[in-house]
Amino acid sequence: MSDDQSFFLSTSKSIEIIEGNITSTSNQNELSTLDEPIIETVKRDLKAVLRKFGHALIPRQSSTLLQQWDLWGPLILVTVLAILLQSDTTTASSGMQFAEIFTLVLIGSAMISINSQLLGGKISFFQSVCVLGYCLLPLLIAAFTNNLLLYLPYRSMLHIIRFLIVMTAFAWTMYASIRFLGQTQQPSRRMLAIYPIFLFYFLVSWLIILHKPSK
Amino acid sequence: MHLFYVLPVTTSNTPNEQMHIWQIEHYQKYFDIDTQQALERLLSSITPQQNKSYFNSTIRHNPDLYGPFWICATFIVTVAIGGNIVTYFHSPNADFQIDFSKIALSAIVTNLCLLVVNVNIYFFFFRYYIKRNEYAFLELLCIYGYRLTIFIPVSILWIMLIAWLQWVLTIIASLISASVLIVTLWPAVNFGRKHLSALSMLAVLFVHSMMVVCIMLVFFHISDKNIDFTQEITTLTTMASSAKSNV
Repeated sequence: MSDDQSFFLSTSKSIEIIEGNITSTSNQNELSTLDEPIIETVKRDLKAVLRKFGHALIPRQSSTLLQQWDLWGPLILVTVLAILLQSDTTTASSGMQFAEIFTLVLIGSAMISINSQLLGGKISFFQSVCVLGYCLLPLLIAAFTNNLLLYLPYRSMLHIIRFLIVMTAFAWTMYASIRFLGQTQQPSRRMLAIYPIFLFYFLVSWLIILHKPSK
Repeated sequence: MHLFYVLPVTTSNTPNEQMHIWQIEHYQKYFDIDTQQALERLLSSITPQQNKSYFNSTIRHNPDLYGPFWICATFIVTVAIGGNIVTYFHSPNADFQIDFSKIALSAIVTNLCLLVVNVNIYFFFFRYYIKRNEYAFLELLCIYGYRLTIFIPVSILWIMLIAWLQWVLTIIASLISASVLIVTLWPAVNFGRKHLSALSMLAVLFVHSMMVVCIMLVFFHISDKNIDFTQEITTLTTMASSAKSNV
């Protein structure tokens, strides 16, 4: 045993001891987000998402939505929309309806993104999914308003008012998404890329119009 | 989160590169179409022209998959929305629920019919029977896809639930799309035994019309039974109330 110990001690003397800090000193200017408290991370991401909501509502000529894409916003929007569009309070079929709307939006945005790439657009897959999700915000507001209106006593005028609200939101959504996604295509193919977006939002608007919660 | 490209977006500058089947550029050549060309193809698929075949002038050089795919998708969307509107207006107030299975059903039926019939035409006609490989599979798919165009406005008009109007619309639309197909494909099919080729064309048209009629009946005709049902209920209640008042 002592031989092993002495062997070990002798070898450890020949090893050079290297000391240093494990954090790199080269990018001192960047935020090291691993060390900050969680509330900071959540606040920063939440602020980014809220800022993008603002951009989706009032489309200005900024490229924030495209370049700093994230998928949190679309996820929140689609989840809230699916909850609002549930019309049956029994647990079995309401879960199915939630899944149907979610799947519909997912597959729709995937197909539109692939389509715009196939036509030669200069936008990546996740960027266009992000933009399509964020531009759902006006339709979400319309669905929320419709749900509130449905609590009023039944009158046939309500149908027309709900229809008009949803159509206004649809026009707003189309305007916002054309502003963002229209520039990524060559001019000769722009209509071909915009038409599927029109179809997708049209389907979602009709789902909102035809929605009737169970009494 | 930085820019993360799942699929390569830029078109390659070297045409000699081997395009793999999982790269998106492999499929970009099927989508090489401009808005103007797409609109022209749509218009020519609605109007049958006897003397000039648009097929030979446009599609043969550049078959595209954009048209068939998105026409099919539009048809599925309009049928699903129309069917839901029909049940919305003709069902009692609290019972309506959005029937997503309609969307799925119409999607499956349309796509299946489109693909299956086309594959059949291709293999039956041009591989085994006539043994002349004149039309590529994609070109046939393209023609067949564009034939559905006429049914899109028809499916919107189907919402008006007048039975004879629906049947008239269906027949007219089937005739138009059938004539377009015949005008386009007849010169290639028409050699040798005339009876057999005519019969097979008729079979194809028959299958297509069956698909359309099925869609119309399933999605847009349900309301007839509902209307009779509610009328019966109202007559029964009026009879019951008049009986009560007499007593």
